[in-house]
Amino acid sequence: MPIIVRLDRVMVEQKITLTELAERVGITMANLSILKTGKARAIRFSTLEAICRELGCQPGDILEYVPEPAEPPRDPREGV
Amino acid sequence: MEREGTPILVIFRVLVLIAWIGLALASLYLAIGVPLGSLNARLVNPWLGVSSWDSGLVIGVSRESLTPEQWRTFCSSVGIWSLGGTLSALVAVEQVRRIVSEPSKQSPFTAKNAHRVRNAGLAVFVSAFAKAGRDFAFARFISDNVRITGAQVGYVSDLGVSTIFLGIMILAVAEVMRHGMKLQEDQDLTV
Repeated sequence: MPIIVRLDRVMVEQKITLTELAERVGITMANLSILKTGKARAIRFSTLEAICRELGCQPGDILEYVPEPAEPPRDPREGV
Repeated sequence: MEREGTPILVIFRVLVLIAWIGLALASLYLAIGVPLGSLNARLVNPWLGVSSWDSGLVIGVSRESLTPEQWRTFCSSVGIWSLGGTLSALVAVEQVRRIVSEPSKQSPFTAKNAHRVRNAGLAVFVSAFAKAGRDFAFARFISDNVRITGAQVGYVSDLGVSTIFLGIMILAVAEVMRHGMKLQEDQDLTV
């Protein structure tokens, strides 16, 4: 997925642990871990708002768009 | 591992196991017993669970009443179709057995179970065609070999629409399960 979660970087800057952030945001550590490791499929606005509030940052500090490399064009001689 | 369940689940497991053993024995009978002629073959309704119990004329075939050539023809036509139908029914029951054998505390909505339901649906679908093939082969055999004075013997083929419909319904349930699990996965990975 071309959306990269940079939560670990912001957490290091803010010197906050996963447990502490989970408690302050009000979600489970398991869910925060899913978000931190980039396994999440979606994030609720309410969760994003709480994380930004507790870390004092903007959504753009946590989420980054990195375009996926385009697939090389196929050689027409390879056939269908 | 949790192996217990509610009484209804335990009864269902036992019934599925009985059906499984019955179909497995019927498969063995059709695959080995009938060609060898060691058992008295009366293949009127040879495969369990899929046979119809309509009232009417019942015609049986026994090896003693047929020539060796007729017996070979009978086994290679009716026997093969019957074996195919029994095996496909066995596959369907085996899929159900695997689903109900899972620990009862575990959610049944898993990718593996959706795959099993789909396989069961396909097996039921195949069994409908096998049953039609068996009935057709049996009727053709009787029509070709039995002469009744003053009566005309012919055959018609019944495709077994209800079984095909059942197979389609099971396939639809499998697809709903698969889609529901995808939604559940999305929900689980939403923080």
